[in-house]
Amino acid sequence: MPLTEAFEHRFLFVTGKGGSGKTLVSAAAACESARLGQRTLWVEMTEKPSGARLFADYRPDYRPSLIAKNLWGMNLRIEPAIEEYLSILFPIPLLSRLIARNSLFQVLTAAMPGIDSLIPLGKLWYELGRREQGKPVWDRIVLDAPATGHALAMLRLPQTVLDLVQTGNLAERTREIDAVLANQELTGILVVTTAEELPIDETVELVNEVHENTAYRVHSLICNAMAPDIGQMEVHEFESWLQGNSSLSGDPANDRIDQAFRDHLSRLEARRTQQLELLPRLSDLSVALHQCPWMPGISDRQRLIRLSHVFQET
Amino acid sequence: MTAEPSEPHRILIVGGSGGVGKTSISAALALQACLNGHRTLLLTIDPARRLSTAMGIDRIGAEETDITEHLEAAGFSTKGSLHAMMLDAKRTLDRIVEKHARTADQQERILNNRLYRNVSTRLAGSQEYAAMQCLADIADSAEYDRIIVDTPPSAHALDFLDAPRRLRALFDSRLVKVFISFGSRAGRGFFRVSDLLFKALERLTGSQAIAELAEFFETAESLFEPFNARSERAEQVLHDPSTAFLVVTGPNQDQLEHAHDFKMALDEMDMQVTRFIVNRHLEPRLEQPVPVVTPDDETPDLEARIKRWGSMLEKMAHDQADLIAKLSAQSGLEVTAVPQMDEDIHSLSGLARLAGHL
Repeated sequence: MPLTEAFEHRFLFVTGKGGSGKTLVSAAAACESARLGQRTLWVEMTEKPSGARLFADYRPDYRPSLIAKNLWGMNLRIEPAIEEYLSILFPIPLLSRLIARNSLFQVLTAAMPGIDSLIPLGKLWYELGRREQGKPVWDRIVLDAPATGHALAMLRLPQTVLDLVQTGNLAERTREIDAVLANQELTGILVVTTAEELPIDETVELVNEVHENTAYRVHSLICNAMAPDIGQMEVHEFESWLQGNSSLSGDPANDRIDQAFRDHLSRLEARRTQQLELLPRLSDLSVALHQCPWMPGISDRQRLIRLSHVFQET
Repeated sequence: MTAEPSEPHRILIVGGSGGVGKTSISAALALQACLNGHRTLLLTIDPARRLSTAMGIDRIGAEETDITEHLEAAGFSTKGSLHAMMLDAKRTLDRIVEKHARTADQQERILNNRLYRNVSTRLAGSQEYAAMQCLADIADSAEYDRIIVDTPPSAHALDFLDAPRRLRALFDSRLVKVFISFGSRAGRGFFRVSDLLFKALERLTGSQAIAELAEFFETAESLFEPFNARSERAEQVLHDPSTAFLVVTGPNQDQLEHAHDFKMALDEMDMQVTRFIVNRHLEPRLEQPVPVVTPDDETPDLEARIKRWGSMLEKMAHDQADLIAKLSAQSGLEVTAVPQMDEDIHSLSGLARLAGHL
């Protein structure tokens, strides 16, 4: 199944272990979506957004701002989202601001378990449903969701809330959020991982948890940072170079450089072998699995561009 | 025998962002302390399955379990001991309730309160809460002279430290009074500030959830004292001169910057940081990097591919070394760079090798 299939969902929920590159993957997916002509909103939800590092002239804020043609970005933080929600509930601006900025109220909401999952989900649901002149404001929303543990808490939240509350405003909102997440045509859940022991453990656990304990499905797995295949068709020649008996050389004029390259590349090759050994644990999950290359030595912006190209090609 | 680690501290908290290898580093430090003759406790969060199997801790839970024999069976000899426990958020919180509930009825009502059950098992942040409570408990145990604490995986290292503050805020007496007054009052006026706040909160979370929360506060009021005492104790432990943080990070620029920020935040909170551990550092092989051959995506020629990736990795190694030197100069702290290992660490001998670098 091609990765572009993921672009058929209006809402992409991208999670993964910290350090696996999920932010970059979500940003690349958003770029690719925008390139295809879809009005796309890329959403981070963190105290330390990395949007400014990825896009020139972009300053992440709660208010969506234009990043590039068809691409908007925002940083979904809890406090302004609560304030916005209150302003919808209490249509007196001064009053809602007064409440939202009251310190007791802030402690109450900060302490209220689950609110850090509920409020962002509510905001996303609101943005997905927003329409202007009869048309949806966003063709697609790509969420750079929190890392695995918190993301799982987020995905479990609708059921948790509905266990607690069956009627009223909250229950209604939650049912609507639940309907969005459960609609597999609308929502695609992407999990980014790397082919290493711990990230794979965590990914397997996440996928199983989601499939067993929620009504949602993980749509695609993206295995990031796959080591390059340097030998390719000339694998035997490559191996004999690695063992030091080949007329090939990383630098014919300097044996030390040749040896340094050999050290580096034998480790890299060992890592590649390990990655390939671990991959079946992911393919066993019967969720579409895609691979993205390791891209060292370039800036995040360059990486983003190359990753978007990878998305175009698959 | 591995060298004595540079930290004389009794409690070492291994902090850092997710995905940098905190769990393996914690396990290696614990193994090292044990081999150095210390009575050691490792509080671990969620080790990779093969690693926990290798350490003999794949079936342990929230109880402290002696794994010294397991080490000895694997050929390590030590005068010390190694106990390990796995953080179990629900067990930890339940235990506090069981210990401090006044009556069996109260205990039952709290443990069965849906809100409590959700907090203790399903919601984000409960792991951090529990880790802090756990820390307060084990810190007072006279059984150990070295305690190594792994921290929950979170995007931001500081989340862990935020937990006691949030817990205290939740059980703040003023807040509790407001809730209890809410629960016990039938008709409410409109003009009182707290009523307005509740109205807002109710719209956010639903009246049922609030009623349940109020019930929980009423039932559990007598527990807040011990809960608060525990989290105060946790804060004390964090600030104790015999406690220190060790910041684990990866070798990339943003990871190192993040580690530096974390250290600054710890400084601000008056917590000791002994050193940085930069995990999975790629070591330079040459004194000077060689110019990187221009990356050309579909290089057809094997020799060109070798040059390209070889020079790229050498450059990366030098970049990392420069960044590590910069971190050390900026922070004035010792930085231990742990080279990338040839394999993932999932055996005791792998851990021992890792410990050798620490």
